[in-house]
Amino acid sequence: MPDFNPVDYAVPGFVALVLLEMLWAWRRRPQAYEPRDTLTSLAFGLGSTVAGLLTGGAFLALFLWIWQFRLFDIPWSWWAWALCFVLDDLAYYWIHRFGHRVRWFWASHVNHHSSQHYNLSTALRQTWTGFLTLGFVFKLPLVLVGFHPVMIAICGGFNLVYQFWIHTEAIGRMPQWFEAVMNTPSHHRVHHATNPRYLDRNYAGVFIVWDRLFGTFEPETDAEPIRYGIVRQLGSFHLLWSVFHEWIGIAQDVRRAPWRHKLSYLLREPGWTHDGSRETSDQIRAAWLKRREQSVAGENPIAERAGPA
Amino acid sequence: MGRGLPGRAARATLVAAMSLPLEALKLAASLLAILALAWTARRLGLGAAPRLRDESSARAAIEAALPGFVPAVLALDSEGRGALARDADGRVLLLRAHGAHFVARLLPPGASAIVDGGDLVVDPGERRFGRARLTLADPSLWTDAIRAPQGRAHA
Repeated sequence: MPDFNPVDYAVPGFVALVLLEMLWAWRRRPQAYEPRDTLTSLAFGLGSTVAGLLTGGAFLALFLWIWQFRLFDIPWSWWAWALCFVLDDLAYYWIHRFGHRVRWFWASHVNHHSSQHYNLSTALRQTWTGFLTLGFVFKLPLVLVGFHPVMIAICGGFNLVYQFWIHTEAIGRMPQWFEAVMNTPSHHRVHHATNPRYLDRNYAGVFIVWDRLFGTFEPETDAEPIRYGIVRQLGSFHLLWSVFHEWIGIAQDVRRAPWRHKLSYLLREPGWTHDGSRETSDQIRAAWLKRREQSVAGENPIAERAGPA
Repeated sequence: MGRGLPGRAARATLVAAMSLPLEALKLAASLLAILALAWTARRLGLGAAPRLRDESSARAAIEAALPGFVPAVLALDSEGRGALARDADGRVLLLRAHGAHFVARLLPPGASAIVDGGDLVVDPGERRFGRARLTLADPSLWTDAIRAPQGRAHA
């Protein structure tokens, strides 16, 4: 059983690439980085590592205990590694999708999205409170099938390392075949965008095929500049506020809500309110589409009257 | 097989504790790298504060921050650090610079504004978002608009 964490070996490379991207920004796009934002994002990464050290052992122990009840004995062979990597990425897709669609999960994952910048330091902006969500449940089927928990953890590490390089504006598009199968900077820029057209799209980790398969894919369009961050931008670089703001928001909403709605503030999508005072991603997109249709109809009234041929 | 969950958790915790000095060293090195990178970004002069050049750029920034908000009245800070806008429904929006970007808030009923030394100081009533100081042509016009209940303001 290997004792290996790919992320440990990748960290020096992460630092070197962030530095390289900063030099690119200095020459080409000085607004791509902001020192306080970079400091906050990297502090998130450090804190996330500490949280992982404190809780990772317990999760591994839980997985090892559940592994006793596995259906098959899957060997440490090359095909098992390949299959584990693909299935782990499928599990990641669903963890990530829930991370955006269930506010309890979002409270943790929002940390990765709360920067208004999209650069390699954003990739390291990882949550401190992932252990408070149930993301690990999505990986239990792999354990029960028989993949060793350490194999799953190592595949998850490689998945994380892969996702680092796609957090950049320095790369436009990859070759067409690559864009068709793999998650790329272009696809992931869409995922980090707050433009109504792009909200809650492209959840993939490594393989973009999951989004194509499950109907959540949206291509990047060059006609519309991307705006990054969250719908209600924080407007603060305060680290602890950035870490815990959504948890605090949930607590406040649950406290104020009537009893029959309290649980919905945990389980419904971000932006949902029982009195309609805020908007969900779907509502924001629907309103945008409506405005766009009205705008097109206003510009071309003949087309509207005539209808489709 | 058969080892209990509590036993495994205790063993995992023990193994983690034994590797603490190495982990502490890695964390210290990471902290140094973080500070060095943030310092580098600062030394390279990255991420200068944005400026609103004109009304058109203010409208674009507002549309980006709150899609669908159409300013009926718009007032820009004299140096382009922010703006205030009111739509046809009387809702007032504050736009201000934050780092290298703009952030916006629709001002809630609890928001307030005072004229201080000729500038308008807007407090959206949200501690972490903070106050904004704007130099406007006629700041007193906006104090009433911000105090008035939403939907009935007349800036």
